[in-house]
Amino acid sequence: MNILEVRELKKYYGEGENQVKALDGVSLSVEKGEFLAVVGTSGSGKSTLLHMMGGLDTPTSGQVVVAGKDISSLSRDELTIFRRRKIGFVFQSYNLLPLMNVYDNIVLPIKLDGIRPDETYVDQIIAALGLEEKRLAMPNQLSGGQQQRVALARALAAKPAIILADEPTGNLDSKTSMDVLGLMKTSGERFGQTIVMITHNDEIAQMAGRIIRLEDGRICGQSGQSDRKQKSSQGSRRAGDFHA
Amino acid sequence: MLKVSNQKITAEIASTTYKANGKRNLLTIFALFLTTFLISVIIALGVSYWNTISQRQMRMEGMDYDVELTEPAEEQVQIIRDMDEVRYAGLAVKCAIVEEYNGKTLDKMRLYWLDDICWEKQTVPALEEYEGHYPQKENEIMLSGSALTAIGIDKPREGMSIPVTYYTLASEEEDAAAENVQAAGDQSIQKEFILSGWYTDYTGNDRGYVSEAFFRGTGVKQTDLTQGALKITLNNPLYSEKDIIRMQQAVGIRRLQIIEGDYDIISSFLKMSVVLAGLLLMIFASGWLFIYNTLYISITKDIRYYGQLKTIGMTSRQLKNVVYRQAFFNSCIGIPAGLLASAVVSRLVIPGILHMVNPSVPASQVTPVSVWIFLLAGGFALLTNFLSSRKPAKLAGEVPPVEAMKYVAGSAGKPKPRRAPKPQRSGNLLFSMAKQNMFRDKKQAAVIFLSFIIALSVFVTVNVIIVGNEAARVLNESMDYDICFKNETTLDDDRRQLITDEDIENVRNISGVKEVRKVTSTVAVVPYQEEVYGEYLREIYKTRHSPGNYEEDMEQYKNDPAYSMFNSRLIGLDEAGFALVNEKLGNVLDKDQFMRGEIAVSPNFFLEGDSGMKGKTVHFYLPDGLHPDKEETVKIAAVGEGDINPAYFAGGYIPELMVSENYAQKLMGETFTELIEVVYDEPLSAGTEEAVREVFAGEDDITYNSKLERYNEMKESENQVRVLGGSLGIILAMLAVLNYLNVMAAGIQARQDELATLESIGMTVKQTKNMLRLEGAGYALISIAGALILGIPLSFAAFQAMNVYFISYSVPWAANLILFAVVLLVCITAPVGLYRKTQNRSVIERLRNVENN
Repeated sequence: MNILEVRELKKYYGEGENQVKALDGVSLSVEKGEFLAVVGTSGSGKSTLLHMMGGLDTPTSGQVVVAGKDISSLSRDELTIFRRRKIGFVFQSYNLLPLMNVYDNIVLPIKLDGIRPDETYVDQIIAALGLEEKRLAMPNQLSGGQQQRVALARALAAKPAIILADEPTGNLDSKTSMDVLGLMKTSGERFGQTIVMITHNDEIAQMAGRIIRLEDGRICGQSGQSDRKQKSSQGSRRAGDFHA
Repeated sequence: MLKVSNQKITAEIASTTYKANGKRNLLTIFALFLTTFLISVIIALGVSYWNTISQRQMRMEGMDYDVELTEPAEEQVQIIRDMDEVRYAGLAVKCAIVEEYNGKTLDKMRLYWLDDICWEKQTVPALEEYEGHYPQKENEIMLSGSALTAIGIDKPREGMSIPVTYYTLASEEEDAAAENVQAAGDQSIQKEFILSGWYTDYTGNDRGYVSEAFFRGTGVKQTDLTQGALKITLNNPLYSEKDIIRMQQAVGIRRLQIIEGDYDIISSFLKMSVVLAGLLLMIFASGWLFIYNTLYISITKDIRYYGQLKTIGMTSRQLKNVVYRQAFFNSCIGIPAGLLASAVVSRLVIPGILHMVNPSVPASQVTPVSVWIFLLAGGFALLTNFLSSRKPAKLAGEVPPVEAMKYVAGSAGKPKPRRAPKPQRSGNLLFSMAKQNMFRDKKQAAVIFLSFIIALSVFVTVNVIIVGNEAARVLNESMDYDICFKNETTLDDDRRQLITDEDIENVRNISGVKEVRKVTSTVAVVPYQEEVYGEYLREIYKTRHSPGNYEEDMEQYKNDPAYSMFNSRLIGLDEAGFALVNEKLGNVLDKDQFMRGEIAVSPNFFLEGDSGMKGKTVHFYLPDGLHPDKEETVKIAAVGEGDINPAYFAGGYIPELMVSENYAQKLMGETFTELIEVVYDEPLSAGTEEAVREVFAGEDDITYNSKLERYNEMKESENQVRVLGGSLGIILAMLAVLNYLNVMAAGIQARQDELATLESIGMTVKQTKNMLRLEGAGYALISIAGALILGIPLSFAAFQAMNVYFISYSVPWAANLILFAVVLLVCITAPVGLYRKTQNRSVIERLRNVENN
């Protein structure tokens, strides 16, 4: 089952000769529980694609359908609400709120929705990401890897349909990068999350079940199909458990 | 080390930076302008007050002195002149009154003789200008400018003839005793004076000065009642009642002699000084907070720039210098503008304020302030500016370049462990987020709170004082009638019943008249009664109201019960009058007993408390009553303050006996109406007033005291005070609001990234706005609470210090609540507006900022 579908997505900046086509008719679909990596060089349009998927940016044309919902028709606030319920973001620069401790950061999207966090679930995530000791720490007391783990926990906590990770390891050294990615992958599997990650690092992309390569705003190749199927069947069962 | 000349480059950088920050500088300039303006107005107010009180006598009397001893004997003059605290003591004696000039009737032009000290040391300095010389020869005269105008001389010359008709002020006994005097009092004499000089002063009185020879010839003595006075200039114009009592004791003051002065001069000066100093402090603080805050924010924003400058080799000192120079540029514009505005306001408004806080100072006599006050205020403002710049300059100078390059404004300080998390709902979440944001930069939060609290407290205080001095309120509390008609013949031997019952009925029938209270009075002879008045009389001789020598006077009083110095008056009150008195006494009286004439009330004018009179039965006679020789008795059921007695005319030192009109009629047959008090349905109604005054029109011996007339007089200065006081509060509030906006704008800008992050993880714009509103409301509500905690006691203290009318304290809630509401509204709406301004880019564009940082 497709949890995410992108249809003929275009994003143009400027006009005439100066027009830049950041995305030029990208179509793809992601199945529930899949771990997809989007790779490409700087300026290939991969970040733009991710932002469109998350409703952080509006397309020039085309559609983004998340869990059966065309998000291009939503207003700014509807989009925000949709995002906090269906999408978890992991940014390169973590984007943790400096005034809140680790726990508060993790449960913030849930609370913003006016919902009481599922403590057991949050505790599981915290444990899975090895953050038990750091629950009450402030972001500026954490290392980069720890901060990114908190960001990941935050993305997972609201039980979103998809996790969008934008160069999640861009600010981390290679060992830490692998640790974080490992955690992202295993927790994704464990909690039945669909993950779309963008990266310019091929080695990192190899962790994903499927890789899509983007160049000049177009998809120019993909790999790892077989892997995907196996993962997705496992994932959807898990997701079903958690989204009941 | 080689000294390098880098002043020029520092100046250049300062100037470039300054020009680049146009808007921010404008804000600081505006703050400086307001601060200078306020400091200057307050200092001018203080100095004007000082000038005015120290020169008041000079202005009012045309002489420069502080206190005066009436009817001084020669030896008393000598004693006073020998005192250390006395600078000059000059003698002035009023000896004659000119009635006519060249056959033209004049309005009582008084002739005085001044001794040399009084003329040279006390009068000349108080004159605007004078020509000629003080009269030496018997027939010489010196006239005031307005006296010359009154007699119709436009171009006076020395030596011109002044033919007048005058009478002397000598008492009859003295006339009889001195054979060579010109004439007895009241007998007109014609004389041709020679004009020896003329002068102009600020009093505008018709007055003439005569030679000692002429004065001696009139037979008037310096010890004659109301004629002679020793004008005393003290070394220190701030004197207390104690100083005066000491002086009285030193000269052995005789009966009827008094030392006249303003006994509250020290306390009113001190109170005024404290109030002004307090205000000045508040303004300093407000200005400091604002300027500090603007510069701090400005430098924080530019911290990367300063870091770069440092990286490329500017020293801390040079960087500080750059900041100071910018502060100086601001001063150059803001301070002169503030001074100019205050100069205009000072001229226009200050006289009115001083008149309000001290009604004995006519607004026209307030001394204008001089230039040095503005220099002083300018200096203070400059000082405020540089003191406020110190920290920001230090910040710019001392941030290590690398850190400066990475500086993110408003980031959390030292990490602190937080309490264990509690489950929260979304509302609570926004609330706690707002709370965290409010206090994330404690310094800035403190700046906001302090500036709001100061401004609101000043506003509350100023409002309390303005409302306390509101003409209508003052008059309603201090005058319990709208108009009072008084029979001026009351004390005359041939007194006439001018206010008849028919008149009273006519007044009562006028529509718009609510109540007419009739007050009758007559002399009551009260023989010495130790039990009733013993304590009272002993006490009174210990005060400055002391009539003279206790033993001698008591001896005389006991021998002659009708001794006028110890007469009382029997005051008759009708039912309405009784109700008012009883109310003032706290309704302690039994109406029936009072109406039956069993009980009386006495006012204690000179002392506090009941001085042992309450509950005692008094024996008295009424010389004008039905039975002049019959002893009457009445019990004094209550003793009140002096103002409970509605009657105007006084008897001797024995307090009046206020009884019911019925009882007075029983004793008197026909009572004599001293005055009536009229109350209107609508206070200050001009129409009713006109109709009421019509009833007594044309009778010169009935005078009136009208609330409406006093209201109109007070209204003008009240309006000026309202404008200035209100502006003061509003300006401070404006500073506080600007401060707030400044902090909020900087905060929201600094938090843009964070707000974008929040939006990316699911905080809606609505939630963000609500959070910002909560922050604003938090600032406003905490500030308002602080303002109430600080402002109410402060306003109470200031009100008491300036309460010249003895009005009860009350907080004008309406005005304050309006300001509070405005502050709350601004605080709540402004952050959302500022936030909206940062929202013209998509969330990802805003997020990119974060990525770039």
